[in-house]
Amino acid sequence: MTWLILAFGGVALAVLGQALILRSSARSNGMVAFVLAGVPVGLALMAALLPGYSASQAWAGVFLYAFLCELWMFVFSSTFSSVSANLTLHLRAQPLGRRHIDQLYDNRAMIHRRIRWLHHIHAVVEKDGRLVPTDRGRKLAGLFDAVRAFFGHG
Amino acid sequence: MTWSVVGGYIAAHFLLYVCVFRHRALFRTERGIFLFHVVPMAGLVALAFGAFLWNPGLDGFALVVGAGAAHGIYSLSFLECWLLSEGGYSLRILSELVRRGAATPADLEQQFVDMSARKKIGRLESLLHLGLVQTDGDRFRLTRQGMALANAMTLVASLAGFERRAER
Repeated sequence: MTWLILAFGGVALAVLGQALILRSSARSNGMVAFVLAGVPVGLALMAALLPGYSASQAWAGVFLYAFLCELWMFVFSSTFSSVSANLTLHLRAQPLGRRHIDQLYDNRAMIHRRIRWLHHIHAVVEKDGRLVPTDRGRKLAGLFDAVRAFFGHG
Repeated sequence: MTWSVVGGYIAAHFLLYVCVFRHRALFRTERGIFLFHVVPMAGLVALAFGAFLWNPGLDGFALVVGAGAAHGIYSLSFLECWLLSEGGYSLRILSELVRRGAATPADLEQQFVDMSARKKIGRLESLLHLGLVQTDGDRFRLTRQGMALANAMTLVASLAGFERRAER
């Protein structure tokens, strides 16, 4: 059963590594920090499991590690980017009325925040007061439209 | 039961979605697509557990854990893509911008302001529906489960060394 302990321990180590990277550099991106910590830990885990255990146990450990890492990235990114998660955090501090919630999540401010993010990832540029998609933005939008069509959301 | 059965089961699930279920209205709802993944995942784990009980051993137990984890990787990836394509707000704005060629922030504001309002109301209703938030007179407060979730998210934020850096 040590393969199970190694898988859980590996995730704990990757999360710890991410925390250390983020605390040592204020400009670090949370996801990048986790990948930087998680990939070497994952490779080390494979190196430890594959030669030392039966194929079933070794791959179960690797799959478990990968699944827990993905789950952590999902929880982590949701905590920092989801409106629902953010609202939950505000309500943790105090109960809020509808008007207060409307002020926190002003409709126009939500749009401008998205536009700032699109600038930040170089998907749009501003020319003569108008927003214009970059090549990168066009590719991203094309991919998004294709995925929407695949899932029937288009 | 072997790993090839696990792989085949997951591949069959995906093919079934592509060929049959993605065209059905039920599987375009959050609840429908969530159940489409959770129920078969529970089925796969139950199948592996049955095989383990039939022939107990460390490898059988590893297959139970591995099958759950492999399906978990597949389902979580699938659901993340599904959710992003269904509700990716920034990407919808970008897609509209590409369609138009160019637009002023005011144009986009005018077009998406209703969507912002709907998104906000929808999220609040989801939290109420999930039993994470309850109404208290004219105010909203967290339920016990909501508070537990908020505490867990605060722990995630503190582990990463962030204060509440979530989007406001």
